[in-house]
Parts: sequence; structure tokens; C-alpha cells
Amino acid sequence: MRKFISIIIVMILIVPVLALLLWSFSEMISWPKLLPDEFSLRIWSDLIKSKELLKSIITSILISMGVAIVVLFISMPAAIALSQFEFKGKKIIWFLIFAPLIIPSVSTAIGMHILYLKAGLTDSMLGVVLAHIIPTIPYSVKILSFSLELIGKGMREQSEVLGASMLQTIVYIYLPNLKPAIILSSILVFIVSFSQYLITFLIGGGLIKTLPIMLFQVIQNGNRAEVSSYSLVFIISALIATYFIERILGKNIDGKYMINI
Amino acid sequence: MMKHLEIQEIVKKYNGKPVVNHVTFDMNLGEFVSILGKSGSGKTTILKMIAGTIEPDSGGIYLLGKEISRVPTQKRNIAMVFQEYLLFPHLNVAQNIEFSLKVRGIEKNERTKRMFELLELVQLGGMEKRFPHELSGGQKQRVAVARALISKPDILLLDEPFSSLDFNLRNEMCSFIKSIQRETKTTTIMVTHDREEAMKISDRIVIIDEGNIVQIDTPKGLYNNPTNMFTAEFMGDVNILKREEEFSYMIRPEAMSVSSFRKEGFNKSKVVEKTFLGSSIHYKILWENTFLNISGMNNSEEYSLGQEIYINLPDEKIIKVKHC
Repeated sequence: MRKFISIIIVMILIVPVLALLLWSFSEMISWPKLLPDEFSLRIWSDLIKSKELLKSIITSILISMGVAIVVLFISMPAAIALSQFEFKGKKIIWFLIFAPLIIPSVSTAIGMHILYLKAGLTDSMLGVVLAHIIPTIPYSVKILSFSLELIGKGMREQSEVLGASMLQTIVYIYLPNLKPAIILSSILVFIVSFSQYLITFLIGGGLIKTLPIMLFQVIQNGNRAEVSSYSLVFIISALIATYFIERILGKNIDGKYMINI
Repeated sequence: MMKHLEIQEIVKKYNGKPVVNHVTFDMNLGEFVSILGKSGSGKTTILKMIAGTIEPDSGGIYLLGKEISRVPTQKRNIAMVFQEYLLFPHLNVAQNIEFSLKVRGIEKNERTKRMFELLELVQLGGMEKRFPHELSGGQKQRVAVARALISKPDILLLDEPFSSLDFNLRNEMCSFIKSIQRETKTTTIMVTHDREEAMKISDRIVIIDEGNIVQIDTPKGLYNNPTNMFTAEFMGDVNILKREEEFSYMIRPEAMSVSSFRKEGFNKSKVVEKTFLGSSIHYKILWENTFLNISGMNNSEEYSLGQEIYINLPDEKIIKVKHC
């Protein structure tokens, strides 16, 4: 029974990707056909030569990396405050942080667009990075504050009683113990940012071409073979990037601070 | 002479309800004082106000004559060992013990030297490379004590230090901590709900109930001369002989003399219950209309259930206590 369930789960996850792989090796495929008439390497060879695609991958990775870093720096103090201290209006702040998950991103994006126009932040990478903070921050704050609650208030009190300042407590105590949470939240933030279309489109004004922007253009062209290849590139670059996030953070956030510094 | 620590009229309220209510006491250098009370009596709150993780609503805390109740925790030279030890899980024993010197910017050689001294003091030589999860409960506590003492604190605070240890280890750690405290002459305050623990280890005990100090005295003073019913009952078994409006008269079980035959000044009574407790045997006896608890040593004369025995209540052992 368990074997049967795992087979079904694998099918659900793998089959669509396999279909993408199959379709991407055809010249052209249109609905309702499932299998291509003939196989071809044209789409892939075009893709590899495409400077635009390479540029969009780099743009996407740079933006999402930037978002992951900025969001980590914003959500760490927020998570510490929300999980370790009692203060008035805590519930309202929780609601505001979670609001992007409830409120449709169209409405926030349009609001942001007007604001960013006034601030001169539209059509720039910086503007897009800042705009991506909104949909990603709920995940980051929630994951970090959950882990901080598990660590408990005691560790902070103990560290302070032993003479550590707040900053020393963060660097020596929280960071090493939050390592799994930081990695998880950074990966999640990266992926959520990596898949943003609407916000990037509005704030970037079509000039900041990330992978999703490219993908949507291709979708509009209507060639399913081409769409498949772009989707695969999208999946692979996200996977590679998350692998590197884990490697980089895994090495650098370590309990060995004490001896190394 | 200036007191080492003076606590004056400290008050802490939560939602308008006082948890610590005008608490005042002081300590001499090198003294070991226990704050003894039931759970929820406010004893840990007092400890945390001295440590600085909670700020009192009013009142003052004077360390070596200086008001510290508004000084941030980090700037007070006070160390605290928490109930759960709270060793930093990602740091080994050496790094845990060195922590407070490290954050105070003491250089590496000096830190290592002190760390080995403390490791020796808590008898954990050779364990500096171990991580907290590789240590037993007693070893964890030794590390926590070493970590607290390395900065030579003016005051050491212990929050229910033995409650998470099993029974046998508890006795061992109790005398261990007492000997270390004597050796380092560290002024120490311990919070506990365990009367025997407090009696074993303390020079003086502060009894606290619902945020109020009930009585302060040496363990012997509290047991032999309680001023009120709460202390009397908290410190051991009592026999209430007479109740009046404001006061009661009582006697401790072992303060009565017992005889199996009629004697001058002894009153007749009857054994109605007998409990064997190892080193001692407890009896419940009926004297006139009153049930009394008495105790005898296992190696002294034994009485049987229903036996007629004679008891004497020496006047000087009868204690007059106030109702609370």
C-alpha cells in the first residue's frame, strides 16, 4: 500500500517534468497532441545560443539573491522582537506581516507602482528587489520566529546574564542555532522571489527581464515545445541556486565563531 | 558595616496584582541565602529582578552600596544558573565556560587559563572538548556553575538548581555546590521549593508566600522558633495543642518525651497509627481529645498499635505562633 502511494506521488511529481522534457525535443507541438511527431534539437540549440536567456537567468538569480539577503536582514530583528518580547500591538504587526498572503498581489503591486514611480524606483533592479520583499517576508518571519520560539527566551536571558550584548547574543547564540531555519527561509524566499511575475512586470516596466517575464512572453507565442524548454531552464536554475544557497549558508553560519574570531 | 547586598521594599506587579510585595532583606559577603516558597510565590521573580532580566516597579536593590535595579543585566557583575542549565548547545564545554569572558573582551590566553581553573574546580578535568549533549545531568550542572563563576561574580543566583536531577544526584550536587560556594566565598542566593534542600545548604532562609516575606532566619531558628503558622507548618510536622483567636500553641513531634510506663508529669495516651520510615518510626497517638504525631528513632523502644503510652510536653518546647 505504501509502495503504491509512493508510486502515485512520484508519478504526480515526475511525469509532468518528463512530459516537458519530451516536448522540448520537438520542433513544435500543439494541443491536443501528447507526443511530438518528430524529434528535433532546434529549440535547445537556439536556447543555448540565446544571449537574452542567459541574461535573464543572471538577472533573476541576482534579484532573488538580493531579495533573500535583504529579507533575512529585515526579518531577523522582526522575528526576534515577535518571538522573544511582549509589547503592545504585537497582533497587529503579525497581521501586517501576513497580509501579503491574504491580499491579492495585483492590488499591492498597483499601489506599489504608483509609490515607486514617485520615488523614481521603477524600471530598476533595486526597485524590483524592494518590491519582492512584500510577498516573501511572511515566510521568512514565520520560519525564523518559530525556530526562535523553540530556542526559547531562556537562552537570551542566560546570554545576557553572562554579559553579552544583544548583538553578541545574535551573533554567538542565535545565528548558529538558527542555521537550519535561516537556510530554509532563504531558500523559500529565493524561490518565491524567483517565481514572481506580476510585481516584476509592473515595477520593472518590462525592462527588467527575469526568467518569469521571458517565460510569459514565450507562452504568449503559443509554441508548447518552446514553453517546455523555458520551464525546464526555470526549474533547473532554481534547483542549482537553492543548492548553492544551502552550501554557502551551511558553511558560513557555524558554531565555530567562538574560536575563529 | 555596609551590607554586600540590600534589597529594599521591591514591588513587582503583573496586571495590577503584586507578585512581589515590598520585599526587604540583606546579605553579608560570602553568605548563602535561600528563598524558600511554593511555586507561584514570587521567588523566581525576586531572583530575576536581582539578575536584571525583570525590572522592579518600585524599591531598590543595592549591590555594595550602589543602586543597580535600573542597571542593564550585562553591566551587573551577577551570574545566574537557570533551572534548565541552558548550556549553549552549539558550544563545547570550554567555549561554554569561557563565554562571559569572551563577550567581555578578555584575551584568549587569559580566558583559557581561567577556564582550566574552573574546570578543575568543578572536577570536570579533561572534558573541555565535550558538547552539552554528551554530558550527564550532573555534569551539565557543573558546567553551568563553572560558566557562572568564571567572571568572579559579586553574586551567584541559583534558580531551583536541583529540581531536574534525580534523587541520589540531588544530595551529591547539593553538598558539591555548598563546598564550591565556601571555597570561592561567593555570595549566593538560591531559590527553591524544597525545604530540606534549603535547610541543608543555607546560612539563612527567607520564607516567602504570595509575594510577601513570612520570616527570615537560620534553618534551625525557623524550625525551632517559627513566629507564625505558615513557617511552622512549612518547616516540618507540627502538633497543634491549643488554638486561640490570634495565636496557636504547638509542639514538634520529636520535642515530646515518651514512656511505656506511668511516670511523674506524664499523661496517658494510646497509639492509633504506626508508620515505619526507615531511620525513624512515626506514631499517631490519641491524648485526651487530641491526635498528636510523635516520632521515635528506629533503634529506640518500639510501641505497638493500641498500646497505652505516656507522654510529656515540656513547657519550654511549646511554641506560640501567630495565625497568618
